[in-house]
Amino acid sequence: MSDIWEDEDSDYERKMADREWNRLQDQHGVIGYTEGVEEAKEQHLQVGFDDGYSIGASIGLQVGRMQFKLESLLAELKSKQEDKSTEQETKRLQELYTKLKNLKYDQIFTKEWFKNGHENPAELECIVNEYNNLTKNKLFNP
Amino acid sequence: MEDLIHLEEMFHEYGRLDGIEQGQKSGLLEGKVLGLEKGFDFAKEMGYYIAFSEHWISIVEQNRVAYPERTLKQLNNLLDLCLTFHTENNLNIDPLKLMNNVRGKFKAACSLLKVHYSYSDTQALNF
Repeated sequence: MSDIWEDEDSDYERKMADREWNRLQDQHGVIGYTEGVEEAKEQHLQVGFDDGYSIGASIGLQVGRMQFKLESLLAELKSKQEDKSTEQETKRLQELYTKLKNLKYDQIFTKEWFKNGHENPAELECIVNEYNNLTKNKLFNP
Repeated sequence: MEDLIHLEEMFHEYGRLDGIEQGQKSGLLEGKVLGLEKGFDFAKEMGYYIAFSEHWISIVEQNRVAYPERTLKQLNNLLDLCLTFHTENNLNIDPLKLMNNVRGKFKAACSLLKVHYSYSDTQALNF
């Protein structure tokens, strides 16, 4: 009979010890975790920003240049007599120009771009190809 | 009691180490996303003004008499100012101040050339 009570006592103590262990872990572990996150995040935000800034800026410069050149080319085309043969091309130029004018960083640096280890953004390649196709036959020097 | 304090410290330290690992990752990512946005927006507008300056400098140089005398100087000033921009984040340069100067010179150049260009319909740039 006494053995049964002893078992129950030790079971009770073990459970209480587990509860205390978990309570300490929850309470102090979470406080430590939060402190660690804040401390490290603050230290690494600037590093991440500088890295992203130079990538974004290199591509932004390229896009801005193309945007101006398309705007200028469109103005040139509009000042000339348009015929049916150039109508379609002008429409494509206009579409690309509008796309560049409204282009936001997250359309270039997509989730896939992050996943694929920051290779040349696929969306940028499409834009550059379209731009080269549309401008290669023009007298205007892109 | 000492054991208990020791445990508290141990859990705190384990938590902190986990937190540091997570904080590094999220800090780098959060910073990078913000940097991509700001760098892209800023440079896109700057690239536009650079291409504008180069385009019009080439035209004006070929036909100086057709434009007011100070046009070429204004365009070169604009280009020089734009070229002070670097793709590396430089904490010594105030990007908003630089952009406002560039926009002012761009407007003045457009006025001298009697042309109308518009980089954006809103032209909002925040840092």
